[in-house]
Amino acid sequence: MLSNTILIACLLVIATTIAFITLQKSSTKTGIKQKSYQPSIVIAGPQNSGKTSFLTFLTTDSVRPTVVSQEPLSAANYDGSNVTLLDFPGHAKLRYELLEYLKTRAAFVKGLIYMVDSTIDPKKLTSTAELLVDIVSITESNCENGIDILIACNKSESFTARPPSKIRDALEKEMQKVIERRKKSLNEVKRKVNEEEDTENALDVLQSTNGFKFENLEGSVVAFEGSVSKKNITKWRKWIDEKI
Amino acid sequence: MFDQLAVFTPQGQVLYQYNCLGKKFSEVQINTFISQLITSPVTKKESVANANTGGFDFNVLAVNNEFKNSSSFNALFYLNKQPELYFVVTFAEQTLELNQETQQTLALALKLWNSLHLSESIQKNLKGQNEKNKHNYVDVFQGLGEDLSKFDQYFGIKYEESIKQVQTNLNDGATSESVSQSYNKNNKKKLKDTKSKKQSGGNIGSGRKWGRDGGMLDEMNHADATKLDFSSFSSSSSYNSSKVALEATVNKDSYGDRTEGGDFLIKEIDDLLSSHKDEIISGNESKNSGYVNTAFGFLQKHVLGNKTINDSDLKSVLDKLKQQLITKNVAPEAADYLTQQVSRDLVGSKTANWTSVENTARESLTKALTQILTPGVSVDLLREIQSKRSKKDPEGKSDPYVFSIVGVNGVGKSTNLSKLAFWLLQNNFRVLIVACDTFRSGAVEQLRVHVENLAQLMDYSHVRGSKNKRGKSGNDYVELFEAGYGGSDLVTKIAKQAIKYSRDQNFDIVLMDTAGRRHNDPTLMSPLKSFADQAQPDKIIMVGEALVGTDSVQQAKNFNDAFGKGRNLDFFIISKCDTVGDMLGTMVNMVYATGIPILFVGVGQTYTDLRTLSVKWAVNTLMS
Repeated sequence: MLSNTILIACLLVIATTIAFITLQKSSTKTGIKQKSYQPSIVIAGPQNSGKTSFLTFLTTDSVRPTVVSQEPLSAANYDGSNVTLLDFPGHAKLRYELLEYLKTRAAFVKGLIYMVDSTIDPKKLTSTAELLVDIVSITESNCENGIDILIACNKSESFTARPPSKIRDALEKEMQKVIERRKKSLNEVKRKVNEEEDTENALDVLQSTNGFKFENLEGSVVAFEGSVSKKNITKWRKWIDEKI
Repeated sequence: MFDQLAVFTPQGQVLYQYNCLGKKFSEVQINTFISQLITSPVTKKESVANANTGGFDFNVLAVNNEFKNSSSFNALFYLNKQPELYFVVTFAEQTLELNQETQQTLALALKLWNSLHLSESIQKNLKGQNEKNKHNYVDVFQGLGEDLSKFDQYFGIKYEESIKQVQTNLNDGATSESVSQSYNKNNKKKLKDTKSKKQSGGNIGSGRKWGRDGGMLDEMNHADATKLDFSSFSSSSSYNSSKVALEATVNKDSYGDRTEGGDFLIKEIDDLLSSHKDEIISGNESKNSGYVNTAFGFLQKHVLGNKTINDSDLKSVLDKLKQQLITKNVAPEAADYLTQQVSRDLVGSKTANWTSVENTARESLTKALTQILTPGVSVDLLREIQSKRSKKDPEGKSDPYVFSIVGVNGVGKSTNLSKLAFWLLQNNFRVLIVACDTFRSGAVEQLRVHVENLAQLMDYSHVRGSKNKRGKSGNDYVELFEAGYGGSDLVTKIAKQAIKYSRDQNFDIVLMDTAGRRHNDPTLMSPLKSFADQAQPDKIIMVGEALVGTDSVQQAKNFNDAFGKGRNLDFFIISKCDTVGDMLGTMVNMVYATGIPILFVGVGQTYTDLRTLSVKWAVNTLMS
């Protein structure tokens, strides 16, 4: 008797699960093409630009020592809104997480904060520009209206800090050079041609007749100065508040 | 004396920091350590487990600093799993004495950390189960303040104690290692120490005043001579000793002699440590009696999801994945490492709804593979070439950008060199190809054929076999530099001459082809070092063929070590990828062994069949 009831119960569970799984699978194959995700604001940028410090300051109102991140840090439902703040590691080996995230969820990213260390010599912005090219080529091709980008020029309290407009121009020039070089470099291996979206096309999108310009992007790009260590982030906070 | 102790999360939040010298905590040092940890191969991390480590599995990493203003150092670290926390102690150099000290210090910090139940609170905070602040966010420090300050206080005191103990050991004239072992074996052995003017419990700073040098210690010895029983401390450092043995060693009378507050605090800490030990034992027992193989557990594992993964769930799945990796030509050593990564990632975590353990494991393995194959530095050859070529000396000449290509016999060094040359020629660089293979008969002639082909591709009017205006094979775009056959002295001579010639003739790129050599023959490998020292190539490229299986781990390691301490390979070209189908394991092996990125892969016979590696493509092929 007892074993019978258990058997029936088990069968019932199995039957419903199978039904559920088949339903789910068929819906992903034919039905709505994309899952919906929670909207988010992404904080990205090269290493040691102050991403983790910034997010920590946003969430706890305190400035704390941080070290190199190895995993993304997130703050879900920031300030009671439905937006998640996400800080991705800046180390070159860990950037794939950010790029993968943008590829799958570009449509749900409300804005991207690109942290830049404003004390860097404009001539040495290459690695900063490379990451931004990677990001923009994804956001512009995967997303209809692009993603709005805030270039957050951190460490503005420093004596050697440069004004945000200068950093923006220098980045623009450097990105142009990066795109040119990328076009000349060898193609990636692919098993079949036409298997994936063409990366060259993505680069072509970025480049108009007179080179790469932030104005030509779908999303708006603004640059503001600020400093996490001096708790001076009013301009950035205003930008975030607009997006939430 | 060690430098710094730091506890931090992988997200980059620093939870605890302690600078031994009482200086400001230097994040730069920890950052350098993390960067090195991310980029360096697994094989460079030494695992440490001995009596001092108290049952914890520590790793040592030697950190060579890229920044010239700070010296290199070593780091002993422990990775806690639930939640993921890094415990790092940095120290100057690996000596017997320092090693022992850091190991004991780290073990001590960990035991204190665990007995204060800090991990549990942090785990709760990270999962967002605690109260949220006004930003709707659970601070990682929430509710930790008191425990952390307690930890700080306790750690300071215990560290001070341990320093003294080590000093005593050294003064006894025995080597610290042997003493500590006999110590752990025989807990009843009473060590004599002299009591110093110790401040009462709260004074953490006093620990930093202790010097390692004998003079300082003597001063303290004279201060106050009270016999002390330190067995209680030694029992805490021997983690594996049973509780019974511990109780036997706790001599109540000796505690009665202690009058100063600091001593009682030490007793309190020791009690705390020993009581926690019981908890661990009882905790393990209760775990075993839980449900394991019930029907619901089975369903959760395979269909329903939302199951907390433990070791036994993963075992069969990981074996399967490991087998799959090995069939794809991944060396067992590397496959072991990858599956370990997966279990580290997954044990204790919950599967998502409607996801089986196997799928979760596959996802995690994909992540591990992606991380291992992704380059740690961005290599932009064109930029590097341009920037080197734009530096001109007063005469208006500039140095060429030098590549040298090494590898085992028959892997395709010359072929890939010509492919590389073709790409560089397409980018309007002038290329000088240097025949540094002076050993194998026909090597120079083979390169000449390539140069003729390339010259013809660049300029259709080029007549094969004709000499250019400098009397060499090739034309204005590409040229062959050759000096016949001979021994290894000739090789370095050719290399130096070629660089000088290229500087005079304004070539942009010098590509040096070297002789193939067996990686486990020291007589063949040793000339590589002098070659690299003399020619100073900007990039040393190793060509490895995708056909090699397990041996590729050793090949990559040996070639990487062949250039001496200061020089490594710069990147790999994996050739013959078109011949292996989806068995791309060699790529994983080589990067696993050295941490050096793969830049190009050869996918065919013609000059255009050189591609940059797409990590996504490689990972998908390996996982399919």
